[in-house]
Amino acid sequence: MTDISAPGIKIRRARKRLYDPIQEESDVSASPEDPAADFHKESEKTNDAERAVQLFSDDKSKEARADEIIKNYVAWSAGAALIPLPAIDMVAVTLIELKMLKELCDHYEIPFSEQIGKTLVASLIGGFHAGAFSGSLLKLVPVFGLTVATASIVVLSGTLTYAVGKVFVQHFETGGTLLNFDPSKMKAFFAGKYRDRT
Amino acid sequence: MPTDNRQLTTDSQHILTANELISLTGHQKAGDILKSFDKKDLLKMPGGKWGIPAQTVKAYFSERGVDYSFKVVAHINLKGGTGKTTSTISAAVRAMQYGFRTCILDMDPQGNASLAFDRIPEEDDPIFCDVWQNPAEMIMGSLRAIEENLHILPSSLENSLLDVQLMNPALQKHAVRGVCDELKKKGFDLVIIDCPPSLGTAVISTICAADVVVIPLCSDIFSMKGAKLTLSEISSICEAFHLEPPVTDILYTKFDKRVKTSVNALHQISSEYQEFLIPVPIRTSAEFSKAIEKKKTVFALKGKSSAKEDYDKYVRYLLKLDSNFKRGEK
Repeated sequence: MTDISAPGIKIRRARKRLYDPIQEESDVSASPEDPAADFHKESEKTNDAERAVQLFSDDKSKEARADEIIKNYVAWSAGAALIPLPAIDMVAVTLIELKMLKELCDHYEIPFSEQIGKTLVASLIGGFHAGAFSGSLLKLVPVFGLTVATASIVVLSGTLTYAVGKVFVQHFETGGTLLNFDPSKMKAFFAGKYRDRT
Repeated sequence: MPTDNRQLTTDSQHILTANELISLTGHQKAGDILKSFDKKDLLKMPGGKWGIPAQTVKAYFSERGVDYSFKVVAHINLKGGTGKTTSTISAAVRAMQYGFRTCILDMDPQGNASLAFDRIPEEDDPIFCDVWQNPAEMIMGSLRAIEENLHILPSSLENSLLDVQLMNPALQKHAVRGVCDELKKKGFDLVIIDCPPSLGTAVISTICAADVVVIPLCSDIFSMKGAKLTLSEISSICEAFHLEPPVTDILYTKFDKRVKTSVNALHQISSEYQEFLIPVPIRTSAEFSKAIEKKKTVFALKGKSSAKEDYDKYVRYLLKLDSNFKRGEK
């Protein structure tokens, strides 16, 4: 049989077999002689398992409720974009996204820290917010600029808030917390959700 | 009878002939059904026979009410060697011939379905364990074409990493479903999954995603036990994940009426699993090994055979095709 098409994507795996060493773990872990480190690792495993079981039993309703939270804040975000003052609108949108993150943390019973939340949201949507921010400055141009900027920022901020919410829900659903959230790993998922929405 | 002498231009090995189609539609002669098609939609094959391309079959079947809505079919048995891979590849080819845009998901780290189509992935080719985390971006660039309307996501030993990647049950629930949803968006009508013979995360995730689970089963006591365990696990998994159980069927394979144990097993299965048993046993045949040796499926081999006949009937049952055709239809 002739090969009609080879795959268009090529990948590189850090690990090929289950018996290959896990690089991240070996970097992070303390020396094996340290019994406290072993205990800590064991207890982390137990907590993960407990969290998984908990998510497993009621994840359907939990996810649905999380979606409602996101929808609610998407509306607030779009509303905040109507503020006619340049830059202030984007600050308001960021605060709304943080508030949404707090509510999602509460919903998933995950400890929330405003400082960590700010850092994570900022690093997740950095590039996108810069674009929105410059768009917001268009509001300085009377009538035409204000109208165009307001209309586009309403859409953009709603979309960004939606994507931020979805990324954190995905992370929390899989047993993650704010402490182990890695924005660089979630960027592709974030971009995907952003594109879905647009 | 069409007289257009357009030659077969595709290198397809799986064009349905008019003679094959009439066994489903019930026409008396091949010429009768060929009258239903526009000449330009048919292909003249070597030997003077007329081939009916999948798209033409799909248009014809759609007019007669065949349901092409998206389905996920999985072949699962916790026991190995029961015919999961053979059933997957044979059913996929036949479904494609019947107009279903089909994708095979090879979930078995042994990658035998991939081998059967000579699509063994290179080290840097993506397989399921690379794709499930971001199917929207990954899936189309990861599929390998077998025919225009038949693709495969191949598998290799690296898929055994799934057992670590999907340790969290919430991920098990969504991994295969996410990939299948994406395939649906990309216009596939049917996904057929070949599962490994174990209760690993690949099988759990597949059960969460499948609309139909087919358990291939042969006459030995081990595969009977495998089927029993598979049935009970399907029910437990669906209960645990709050999912509607998939339609579950049992396909009796490697049936040999000359062997007493095979006949007895068929009677036993018929009585024990009456509500699950597909009324078409797959007879044992040398055609299967002949086809695999040539890295083909039985439907690419010339001539009639019980293997072709049985898998044709199986696909017609699985996709509920017979109900759309009255015997002797003109």
